[in-house]
Amino acid sequence: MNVPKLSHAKLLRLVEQENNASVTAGNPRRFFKKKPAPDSSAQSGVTSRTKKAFASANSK
Amino acid sequence: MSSIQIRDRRIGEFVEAELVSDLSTDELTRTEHTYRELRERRAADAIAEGAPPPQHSEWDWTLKASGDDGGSYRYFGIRREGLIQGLIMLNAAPQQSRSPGHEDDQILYVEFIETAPWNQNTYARTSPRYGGIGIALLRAAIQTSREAGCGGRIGLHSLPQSEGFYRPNFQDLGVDPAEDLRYFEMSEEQALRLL
Repeated sequence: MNVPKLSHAKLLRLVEQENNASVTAGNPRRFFKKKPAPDSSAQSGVTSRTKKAFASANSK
Repeated sequence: MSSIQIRDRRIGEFVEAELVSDLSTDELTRTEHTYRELRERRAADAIAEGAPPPQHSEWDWTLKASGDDGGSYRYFGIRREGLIQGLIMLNAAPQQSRSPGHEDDQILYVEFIETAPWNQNTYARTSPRYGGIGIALLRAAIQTSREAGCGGRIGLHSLPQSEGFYRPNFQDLGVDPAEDLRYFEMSEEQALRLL
């Protein structure tokens, strides 16, 4: 794969944006093997998509 | 070998790094072991300081890989100095855009993205080595989206700690109640600005 090169000025602006914030995305509840506590909150719980992923993985 | 530019923050210059497409399971596992030790140390430091640990402290890329189903996931890494400096897991099966007025368009969904702990500002034990890893990984995702006929459009759910990074370059489509996370989508126009 060839990703086009950016000008250093443009790239520098983007890098500075990134320096000011962590770059993480993705739901941490997904793909986990451990079943979270039933009293789910913003930091724990299982989403419907996670359940589907588990069901699919377990059916293999 | 594909190369991509990242910034060496120790010398303040851009350098070439290797863009690894379809990372092997072995390298993914080795990378996870390296990241995990540092993530756990960072989380312990935060707790000792009375601060909340990073929101991705419990991530495990090997579990993500084991949950892979149907072969639609692709893993990309940025390699420099023999180490993977950041990882992205992309669902290569196109999905419907959630952007109002663009429901007929398709996107590629970013399942997970993480820069190496030693490149994050939040990892306080050392100064960050490389910058622009996240941007480089997103640019690889945009290019993959273009090659898949999705026009560079990508979507993702950001952790709250990272929303400030995505907001300038994506459309903020609000909190997705199904995931309890804010959903961001990059339009074709926004994608072109990053290529």
